[in-house]
Amino acid sequence: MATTKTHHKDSWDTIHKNGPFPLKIIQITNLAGETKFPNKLDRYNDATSEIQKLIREAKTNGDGFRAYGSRWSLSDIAHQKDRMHYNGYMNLHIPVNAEDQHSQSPYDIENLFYFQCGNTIKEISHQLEEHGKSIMTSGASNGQTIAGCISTGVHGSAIDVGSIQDFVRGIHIITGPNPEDSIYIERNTKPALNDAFAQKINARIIRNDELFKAALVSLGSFGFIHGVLIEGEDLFLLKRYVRKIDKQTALQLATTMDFANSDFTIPEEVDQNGKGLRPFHYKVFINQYSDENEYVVEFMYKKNYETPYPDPFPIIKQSLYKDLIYLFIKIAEKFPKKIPKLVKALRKTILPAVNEVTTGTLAETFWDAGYQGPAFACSFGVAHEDSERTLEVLAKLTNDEGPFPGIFAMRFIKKSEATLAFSKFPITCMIEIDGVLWKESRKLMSLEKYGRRMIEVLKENNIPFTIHWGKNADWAFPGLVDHMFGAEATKWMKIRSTLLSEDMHTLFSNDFLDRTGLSKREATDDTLIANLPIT
Amino acid sequence: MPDPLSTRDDYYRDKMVIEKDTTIKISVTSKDFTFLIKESEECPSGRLHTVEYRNTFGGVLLSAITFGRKRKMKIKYVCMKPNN
Ligand SMILES: Cc1cc2nc3c(=O)[nH]c(=O)nc-3n(C[C@H](O)[C@H](O)[C@H](O)COP(=O)(O)OP(=O)(O)OC[C@H]3O[C@@H](n4cnc5c(N)ncnc54)[C@H](O)[C@@H]3O)c2cc1C
Repeated sequence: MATTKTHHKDSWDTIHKNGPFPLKIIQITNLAGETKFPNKLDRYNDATSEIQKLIREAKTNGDGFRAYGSRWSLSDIAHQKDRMHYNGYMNLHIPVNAEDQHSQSPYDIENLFYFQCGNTIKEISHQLEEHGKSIMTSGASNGQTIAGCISTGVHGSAIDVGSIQDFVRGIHIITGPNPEDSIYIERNTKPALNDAFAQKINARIIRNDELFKAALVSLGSFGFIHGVLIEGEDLFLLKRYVRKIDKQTALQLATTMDFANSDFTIPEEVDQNGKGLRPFHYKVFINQYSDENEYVVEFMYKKNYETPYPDPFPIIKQSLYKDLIYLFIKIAEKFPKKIPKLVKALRKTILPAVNEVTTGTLAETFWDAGYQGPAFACSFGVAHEDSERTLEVLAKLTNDEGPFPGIFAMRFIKKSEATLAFSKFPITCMIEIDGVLWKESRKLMSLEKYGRRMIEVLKENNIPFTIHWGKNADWAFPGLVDHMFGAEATKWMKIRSTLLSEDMHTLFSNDFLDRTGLSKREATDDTLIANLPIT
Repeated sequence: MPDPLSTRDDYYRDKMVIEKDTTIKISVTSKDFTFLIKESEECPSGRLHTVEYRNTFGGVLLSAITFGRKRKMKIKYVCMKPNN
């Protein structure tokens, strides 16, 4: 039997120390041993019962309950003041075969993989690689859990691919303590697995596009995501080039995504007419404190998987970086005016090495994260056509009212179908500022205030935007979610209100949801969660 | 191997770290040594994720006095999560 250890706590924090936040209990579930439960499916179903037991206990005690993964979100989206459940040890991979496939499935069964919630991106890539497969995209590193990734909408910079939730084909959610609260959700237009599979995981099936899209980015509040069906693809290589290019050229690429007619090309990556090929990934690094007229940019091109290829990363890394960063924080707090100089001095560790060319699989390219100390990250999604304008506005704010200890970058993502995906524009440019946390002083405003000012200037300049759910922002900004998502947010709340009973609706809410207004209970409508015929 | 109850603030935050202070004796004829990783509660997979070792100052002195035959090392390692 799965076992859960309960630890009484008084606080909880994110990996990058954006808290601390108050907490009563952390629960950690370990799966049943293989000796008694040799069958993976039995271990999985046993874990479902265990989670339902924990939900029942939370309910009996009038407590809230929230699952979390690697606590990599920098906002408090993963926090719940009563009970938090750590999923990292729930990392089963359950093979799915032809017998599990739906007869009208458009997917190749060879590409479908079913993972328990606590598998990290690194673990998933490793499993897929054993089958000659890869995930389609990932964030910049690999330590997040699959359930954590989809719940906030984790993205990389794959301009024609999308985010992690966009390769999810089915979700098993536990919405309460009763047998009927174990639900396996898929699209009704693109079913992947059959009803018999849902029965195998003791779940009732709901095929419904709108419900599926709402549950894809659920902010941890649709229930406990127990398993996720993902679609992989054949293993591929990414050839990565880092270049310094003229600012205007880099920004023109950002606003047009027209790589064929750009002044800049990489000689190895052109078609027979000498026109630039469209990269898989495009990222721009911006030091807003520098007047240099060039930006460091990163291009990646997709290639067939062929061995051998040169080892893409050094096995041994020197750890100078982390010590330097702590020094940086100290200096930045005392002498904020020095920040631009510090950023310049640190550029070798912050920015990738120019003219570097590496080749590796997606999993090797987006590898382990380094620095684990106090950090902040703010990330705004805008239509890529607005990227240059947005950067100008945010960089000006950062210079005029800062300087703040971080630098900007731009990444690009194809639109997601998820109802609350921040990648809601046809190609969304995520403009991000990442850096080290500082303490508010007379000379430097707080992160909260900086977050508020960013929202204000975007609104003043009439730039439609979204914000990454897992990053720092002034989440209490009045009307923020409505401004970003309008009717889509209402639809999401209606679906959530219908899917969850009243007490579960409260149990799976948290401060983040209350603050953003998303915990509001809307009128229920059973058609929203109906099991629909396949069309 | 993750450690959700870890209170570390360094690179190993959230990782189950095994730290060993050890003195290795190397005979004049052997050029290298092997450090075996055993499966344990902190390292259920028995497979390595990260290794860090440091020569302490004392260790360097010891090595100088013993002409390199005794080496004091600080080893830190993190194991992989077991596969399920
Ligand atoms: C070093 C670093 C690099 C990053 N790089 C990127 C990047 O490149 N791109 C990007 O988009 N983001 C990035 N982020 C942000 C981070 O990837 C996201 O915030 C992600 O959601 C974190 O995943 P997690 O497993 O840590 O989930 P957590 O932060 O622990 O939780 C996130 C949300 O998922 C919910 N959740 C987790 N498990 C479950 C479950 N089983 N059932 C229901 N809800 C659940 C939680 O309640 C919470 O709401 C980065 C963060 C760090 C620290």
